[in-house]
Amino acid sequence: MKFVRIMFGVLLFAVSSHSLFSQSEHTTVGGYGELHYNEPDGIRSGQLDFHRFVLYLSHQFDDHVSFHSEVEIEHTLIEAGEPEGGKLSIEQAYLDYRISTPLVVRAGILLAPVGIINQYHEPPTFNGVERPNVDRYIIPTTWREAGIGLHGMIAPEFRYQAYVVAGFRAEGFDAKSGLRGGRQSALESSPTNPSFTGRIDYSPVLDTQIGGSWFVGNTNGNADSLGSATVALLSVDVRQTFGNLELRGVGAIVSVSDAGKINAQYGNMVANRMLGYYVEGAYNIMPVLCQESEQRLSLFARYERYDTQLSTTGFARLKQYNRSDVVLGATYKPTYNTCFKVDYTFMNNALNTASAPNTKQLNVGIGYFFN
Amino acid sequence: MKTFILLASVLLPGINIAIAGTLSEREIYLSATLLERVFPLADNTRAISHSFSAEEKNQMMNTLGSFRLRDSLLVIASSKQGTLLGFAVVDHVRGKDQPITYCIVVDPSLHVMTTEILVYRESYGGEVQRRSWLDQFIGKSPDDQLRPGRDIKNITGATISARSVTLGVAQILTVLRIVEPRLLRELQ
Repeated sequence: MKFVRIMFGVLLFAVSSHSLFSQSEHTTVGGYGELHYNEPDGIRSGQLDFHRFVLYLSHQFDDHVSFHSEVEIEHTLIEAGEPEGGKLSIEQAYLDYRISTPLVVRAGILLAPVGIINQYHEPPTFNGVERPNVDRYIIPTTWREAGIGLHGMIAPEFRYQAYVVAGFRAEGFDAKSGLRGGRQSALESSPTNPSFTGRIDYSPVLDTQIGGSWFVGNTNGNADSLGSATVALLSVDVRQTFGNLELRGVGAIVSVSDAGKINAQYGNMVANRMLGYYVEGAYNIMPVLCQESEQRLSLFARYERYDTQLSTTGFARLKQYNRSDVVLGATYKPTYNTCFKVDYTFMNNALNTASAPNTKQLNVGIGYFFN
Repeated sequence: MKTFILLASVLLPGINIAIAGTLSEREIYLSATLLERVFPLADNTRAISHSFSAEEKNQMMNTLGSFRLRDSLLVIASSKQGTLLGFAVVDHVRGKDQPITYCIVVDPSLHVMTTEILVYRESYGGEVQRRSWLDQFIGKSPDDQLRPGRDIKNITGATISARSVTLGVAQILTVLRIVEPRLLRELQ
């Protein structure tokens, strides 16, 4: 091998002059938000709501240790004693200690890395004014708990996350929203049922992202009468781009063991199986309208099915909770991080009676994020 | 203005390297090894600090705006028998909230020969390290447009990082075009 002589002269540099981003301590501020207009049937008068206003605050202590947080105000206003008001919450607040690229320790309030929207929920990153209902009723987004674990990149095409977090509380489960009411969200949460959650991301080629994620843990809060009350959620998600066409799909299945015992104790009619999936296609037509434009105008369609009563023990399935949605709409993005959205959503259920009718809704929204 | 000299430890057997500035030893080492790979026949690799003249600063201000203005640029150049083969520039851009350290290697006519992410720190967006994405910059020069999502592909789930690195490379190329006349003299 040819000997290569590397000789650097002694150089003088100003610390502040070389680059904007040194490894020195610094703080960053960012945020996202979305204003929604929802009109039932597209005929009756609807309502305007600044649904989410979120601030990011991050700090890098040195090249290895950093802090990240998201503080959220939902529905703009919180008034003491008003149950109908909004909500102020800490969505994320954790420390990352990067030992090396494949080995980063994360501890704090962290997101369950399940599905797509629970991790990427900035409005310009998804189509439709409202988040997919699968990401509400089956994967209870925004789903965060206090915990600790590891994440990292093994290769540019392979990443993993694995955490131990506080588990669900079975008493919060119900027929309609499944696991959603059982989240503790790090609010004086009980660690009696440590649960395991994680995710593998695999990207064989640049335009394909495949993820597999899970969440497993008991929910009995040490009450023997509930048995183990184990919740297991498995999910797969795929994102694929073909030029101007973007496809994404998510599937998730939930199993609740000892659902009969949970229902006997709390009367909440939780199912022992739940299922949800959606597929979405979006096509950016801006290059057709204006070849030179860097803006995006995507037309999209999404089909969702979500059934929080897929199978039950001791009572007949509540078929009004076997639901499917069709969402048709458009997303206009003047910049990559701002969006104007409109969609029309058909929400159907397997019962479709006067007490649980199929419904339709017109949604209009604006959204942004910056960092 | 605070200046300092940092003498690095010996990083390669028998080779003394003295470095300074905000680039870490590892980053300098990584870019030097990258140059070795790109120019296996080089017999000399050296680092120089190019201090911007008032006129260069003015031009940069007019083209790029003042938001990233600084006083100097670190260039690591490879040559063979006194002929310049090409040089590397290391820089940082911000991802979502942490710096991404990357290196571009250009030939003397300022065409990109290779691009590499030297240090990636964030938990998302690491796809920018993929060869297939980085190779899109090969052959680009300051005369080419580098628009995120148009001339250089975006990456789903890594939009911010892909955008930052694209804009970073475009900016470095613009700076190189401005400093080219003086820099090439310095590198002779």
